[in-house]
Amino acid sequence: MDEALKVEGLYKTYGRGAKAVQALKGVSFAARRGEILGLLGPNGAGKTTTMKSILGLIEADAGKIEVFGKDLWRRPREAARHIAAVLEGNRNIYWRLTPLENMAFMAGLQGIDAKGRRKQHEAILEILDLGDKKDTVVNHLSRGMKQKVAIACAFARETEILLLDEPTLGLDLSMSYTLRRQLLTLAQEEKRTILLSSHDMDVVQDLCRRVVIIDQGKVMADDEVAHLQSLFASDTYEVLVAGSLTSDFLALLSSRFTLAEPEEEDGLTRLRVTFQDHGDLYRLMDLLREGQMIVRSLTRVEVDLGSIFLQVTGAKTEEVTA
Amino acid sequence: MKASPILLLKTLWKKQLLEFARYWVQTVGDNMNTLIVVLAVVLGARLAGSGSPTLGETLDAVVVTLFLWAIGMYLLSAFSWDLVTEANWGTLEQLMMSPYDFRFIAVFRSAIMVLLYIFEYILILAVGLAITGRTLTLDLITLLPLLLLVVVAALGVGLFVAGIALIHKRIQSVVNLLQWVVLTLVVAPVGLSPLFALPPMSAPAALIREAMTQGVRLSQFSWTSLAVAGGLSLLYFLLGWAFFGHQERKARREGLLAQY
Repeated sequence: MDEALKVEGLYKTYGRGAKAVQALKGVSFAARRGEILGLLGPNGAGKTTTMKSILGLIEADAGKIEVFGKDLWRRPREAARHIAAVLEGNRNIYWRLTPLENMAFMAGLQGIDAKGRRKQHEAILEILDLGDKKDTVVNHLSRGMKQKVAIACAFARETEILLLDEPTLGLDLSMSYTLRRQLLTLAQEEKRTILLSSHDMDVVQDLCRRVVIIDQGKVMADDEVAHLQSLFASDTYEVLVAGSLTSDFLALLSSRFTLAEPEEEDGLTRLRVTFQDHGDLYRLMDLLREGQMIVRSLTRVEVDLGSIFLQVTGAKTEEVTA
Repeated sequence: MKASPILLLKTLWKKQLLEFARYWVQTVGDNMNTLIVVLAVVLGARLAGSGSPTLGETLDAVVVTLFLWAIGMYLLSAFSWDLVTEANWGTLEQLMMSPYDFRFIAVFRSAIMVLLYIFEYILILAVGLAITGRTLTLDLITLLPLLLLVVVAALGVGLFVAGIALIHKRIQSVVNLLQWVVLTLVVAPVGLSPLFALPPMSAPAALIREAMTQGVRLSQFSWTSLAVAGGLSLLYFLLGWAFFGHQERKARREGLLAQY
């Protein structure tokens, strides 16, 4: 079966009466075997409730959760056989133990005898650049390393599915980038299905081919990142011209095109122009030539996941699915 | 993959032992209050209540009664303390996300901690006895099964308290007060009324006192008193087990698990 995880019509309300808060309103999505699926949403959108419901830590009011076709609904211990998670980054491990001891313990909690798994655990730590820290007490490791140990522990549980909540939270850019590469390697080598939740759009865009965007307890978009980019692509171009533009020339441009505030830097002026039709590109070039402007470059502005996310969660009434 | 209880026990044992060995100063420090009392008693200080008929008059009786109190107190608070600590560490969710029932994890871990606690207790006792040159005469064949019943009952109450902590979180101050309840249960005068045997730990604790003060052996106890002690201990354990299970389901339903 290609479908590793299937979530269908998940509903959850916290509290009762006037104080009731509906956290999930029929969340449905599926993750394929070996896929890294991104789960995005603003604070309070229902991401954590969704993840904890999948893990059985929260009992949803209604819905269906299946792993490889097996029904896990209201069977938290059965869910634990198939799904592991890193929910609080570096806080999900024992700081008094070493990375290898942590991995052995987590494996044991999963019902796996760690005795014969040492080499496997060491290999995971090697991929995460923790080979030389395997016997160092976690308390003495940096935040980034602790986070990696938490991820290593999740892999040590040998479940088919991994849920990673903010795996790069609090890491600097370089460490975050390294961890992303390592996560990709681990996911490929260990053949796991990963559901990844993050506020960092770069992380999600970098790791996930497909994303599910949740807002106010509803799935607002469930699609391939590339497809979403094409759906949300605008005809905005960035034009770099030499020198400065006169105010008259700027006024002329603004009267004919949708123009963002120009930026000047190092003797160049950066213009962001949104075209209404394909003819606008030629008309802009004609106008620049008439004004004796020298065009240094012309680039189409790619829409990133962050912009898509903002548009999707901003346009709450227009559900975007494909 | 079937999750074997033996493997779980082994896993927990290894972790507790590693932590105990690595942080033994801190672990002993945590239990220092009790250990100082034990040492003081053996060195000749008068324990409040020693010499009374309920506690027994000999050093043997005082040491065993003190042990009952220490173990009872420890087990009653251990579950809830561990629960809150693990939640603060962020590791409680990892324990809950196990194919093993969390109650097994909690009970096994407490049993291991009791063993380590006994080790500390015996060690400090040995130091005290070595310094004073005094000796203890204990009928272990009688005492150990009865102590086990006390432990089983205390585990049940511990689970009950942890079940409350799971929903209501910060109950540590209430748990601290429990040590006086434990002391009362351990010295409850069962002879005065059968009703005093009903609270958890009281019945087996009374048998232990009888064994210590009157030299009664296990085989000399009536089947009825042994059955009452055993039955009540088991009942309290099962009640605590069921209550914790109920609270865990409630916490999952209300989304309270691990949110501290």
